[in-house]
Amino acid sequence: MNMHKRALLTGVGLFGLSAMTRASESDTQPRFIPNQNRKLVCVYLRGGADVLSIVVPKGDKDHATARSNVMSHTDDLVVYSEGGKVEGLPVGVGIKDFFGLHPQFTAMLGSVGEAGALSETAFVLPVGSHCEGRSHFSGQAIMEAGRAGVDSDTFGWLGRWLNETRSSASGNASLRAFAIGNNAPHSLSGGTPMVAPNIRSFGINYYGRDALGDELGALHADSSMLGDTASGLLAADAVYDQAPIAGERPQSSAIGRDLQQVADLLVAGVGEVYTVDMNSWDTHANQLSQIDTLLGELCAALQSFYETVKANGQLDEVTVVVMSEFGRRIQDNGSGTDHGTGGMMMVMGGGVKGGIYGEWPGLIPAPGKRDVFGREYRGDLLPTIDYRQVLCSILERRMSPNVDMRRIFPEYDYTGSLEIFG
Amino acid sequence: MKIARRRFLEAASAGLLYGHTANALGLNFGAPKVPAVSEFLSQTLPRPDSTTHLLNRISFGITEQDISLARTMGEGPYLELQLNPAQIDDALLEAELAYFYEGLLLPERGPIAWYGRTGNAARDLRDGTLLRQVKSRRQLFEVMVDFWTNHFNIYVYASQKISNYKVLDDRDVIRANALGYFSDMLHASAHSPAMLMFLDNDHNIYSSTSDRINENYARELLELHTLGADQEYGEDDVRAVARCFSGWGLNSSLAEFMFRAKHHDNEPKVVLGHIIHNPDDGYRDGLEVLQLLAERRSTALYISRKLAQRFISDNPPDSIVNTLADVYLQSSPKKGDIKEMLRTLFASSEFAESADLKLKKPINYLASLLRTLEPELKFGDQGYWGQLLKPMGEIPMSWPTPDGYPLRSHYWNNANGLLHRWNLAFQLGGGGVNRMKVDTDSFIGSARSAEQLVDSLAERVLRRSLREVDRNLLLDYVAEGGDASAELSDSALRNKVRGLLSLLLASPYLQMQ
Repeated sequence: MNMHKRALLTGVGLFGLSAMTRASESDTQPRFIPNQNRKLVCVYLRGGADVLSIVVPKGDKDHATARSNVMSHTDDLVVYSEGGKVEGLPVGVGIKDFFGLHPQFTAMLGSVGEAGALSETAFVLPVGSHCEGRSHFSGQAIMEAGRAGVDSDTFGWLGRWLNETRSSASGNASLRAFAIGNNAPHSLSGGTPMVAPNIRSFGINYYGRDALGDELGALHADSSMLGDTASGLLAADAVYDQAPIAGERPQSSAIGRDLQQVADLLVAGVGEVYTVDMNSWDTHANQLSQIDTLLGELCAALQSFYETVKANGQLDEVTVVVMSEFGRRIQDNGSGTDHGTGGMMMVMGGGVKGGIYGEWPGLIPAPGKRDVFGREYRGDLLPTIDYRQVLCSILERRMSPNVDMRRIFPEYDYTGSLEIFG
Repeated sequence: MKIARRRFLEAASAGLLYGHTANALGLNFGAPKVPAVSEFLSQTLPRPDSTTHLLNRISFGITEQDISLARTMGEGPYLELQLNPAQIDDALLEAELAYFYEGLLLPERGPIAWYGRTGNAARDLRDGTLLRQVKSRRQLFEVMVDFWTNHFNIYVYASQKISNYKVLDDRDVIRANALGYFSDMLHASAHSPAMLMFLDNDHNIYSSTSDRINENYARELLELHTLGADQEYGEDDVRAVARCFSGWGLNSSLAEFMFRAKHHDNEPKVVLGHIIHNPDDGYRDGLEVLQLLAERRSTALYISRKLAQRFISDNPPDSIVNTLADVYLQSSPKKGDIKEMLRTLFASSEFAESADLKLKKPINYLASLLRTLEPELKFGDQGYWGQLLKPMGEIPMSWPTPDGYPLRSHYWNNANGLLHRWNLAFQLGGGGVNRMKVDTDSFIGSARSAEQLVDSLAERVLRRSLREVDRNLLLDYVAEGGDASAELSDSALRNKVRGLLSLLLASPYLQMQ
């Protein structure tokens, strides 16, 4: 049984193990079939991440006034000169003159002679959803459902994608989608997600010598609530036992550990879609220090994940998308910002053309300017890009070119990919 | 046996089991909504009797003492007793609580000084709550405390101050009103230092020169505490409510609510079409908003739906929601007579039909195993219970956002949770660990054969009969495929009772409620 995992649990080797175990895949039993499809990692920043603190529009004429209480030092900003394309900037002003990335992005610049994650990260902005109010919970529900309206029976966009691509999937049907954390987000609803038990500590601790999986499976089989869950868990038990494990990099944050778990699953060849949540982006007060901490954790985690996946030669298979339910109000409230509308998304992966993309409407747009959903200015960054366009671009270009996007986002008319892929 | 397992897994990976269930749940996004009560096919388990069903829902698990008392008294009187917790002697629990979590029981503002020194408020709240849930005899009260704690959720780890103030919030907002009136609880919550800090209303400051209105509390008050998302209010109402509550903050040295008139916006505001304007007494603005919200039918419906989601099913029938909302609005001047709503709910046909429609939350599952098995528990060991709960994703007051732990069963239904539930069942069914020893031999009783053992455990642990197919499976396990009526050796009985207990505890019979 389980040579690889046991070796790891008994501490026989951490770094470098992955190369060894990948070479030994032929030793494993045939029921372990690495998935051939590409992989999508969805990182959700819960709470409404403040885009204006992340990709700082230092060149916008209204920035200094609107953000006087929550502005980081503009001279520390990371100048991001890679590529990208932003419409609507003042004449003669380039992207790197207009925008600067929060100083914490230094972590993603990489070391000397080694390209960092930033070189393959696209920032798309301002992005928004069709959610009308500024509620976290409605915003997340609508965005994760990918539907115009939501009730308790509405499935998530990833759940629909999983169903649409089920027949062409090569892996175990119970092990296609993994949520990292304790529970699955709504985006996976309808796609029989597996909330990933940690591959490093996984084990069903049966009583005594009897492996009671047969009995457990049978007792649960007719339960419409628990039947799939039990069969998925027993399937994971079989697959995890055989799985090779990635070399470990020390992680100091929850997001770092969660992305490490994704890396473990990628190396093990299990799954196609992974979701990771990061909390606490609802910065109504004390925003400066909160954002600094949160972004510090996020950037370090993304860089570490990028390096792990790259070291395993899987970078071209993997796309990471980072999203949030909305951006925050343009005018600060003294020490923080209230809920807003337009936000941003990040797309990272092998072959992504690093840079900032989008159409800048101005913090205070020209009179009469409307957002991509036809809504007027109300003190929030006007979204000029529909979040569904970003997701469709990823699904089409990186995941499954033949799926009809109407089946995934029924109310959205997808007209073509953003130019963020090489 | 190994063949059976493989066949089961193959069926799973071929999507056979999946297809079956997906269809039942309405796989296509265009599919019509499935009627609520018939939603889950899992209601194929033999129904528990009505007393067992009631106790399953109004407690954290059924003890021998509970069920015999309920059967002796009758369901109605037992429910009435649980609705009046002051009549229930809970001295044993109080003594344990006082010994291990002393700060929680200090009078007046004592807890603030106490926890200001020890810094253990979050731990005591978390562990004291678990202790109460497992050991209190006032079970329905604790169930409702759990419900309202999530309704008015405050993340106890948000900051040291917030955890200290949450001790007062737990006592003076939640516990003081858990079986009282909703309007009283709402009023108390709006004045709670922990809530004022958690939702940043202490930063909600108006001045004529710089607008520092903070909308956080106002928005969640409308969306999460009263009307419900997208119900009859818009962004203008959020803004107006925020202005009504400007100046509401706290005196942090006294840990008390404080209204600062100079930070209040005295201009007229319009909330849900009502003009709020008290230029001489700006504090009244917030009070009027609270009263207005407590009296809305949207609030009555929202609270009623949540109660029905907790006690009936994820998608409760509109009939019961409307009935409960009527009860909510009947009382005057206070709104939301919680006891009366619960009496109506538990007497309803919708409730009677709802057995097994809810998957227990992790805390309810752990507590129900402990209350069912009644192991020898180490005193003051709730920290260990927290460790068991952590990987399942539920620890009291530890949900980070203001919406509280989800009521929906589907949220809790996933492989990671099930893995830890199974492992907990095997740990306890297998005899427990030193800190929670289960005397499994005592569950053998007078049973001598596989049949006797399976049937007596079904009654004692599940309190209902097994489906024939499940019974045969378990008989096969205990008798190892042999004659189920044959007498077993003592050692076989002592061994098999543990595996059998584990399987029963892990099964949907105890996972669902």
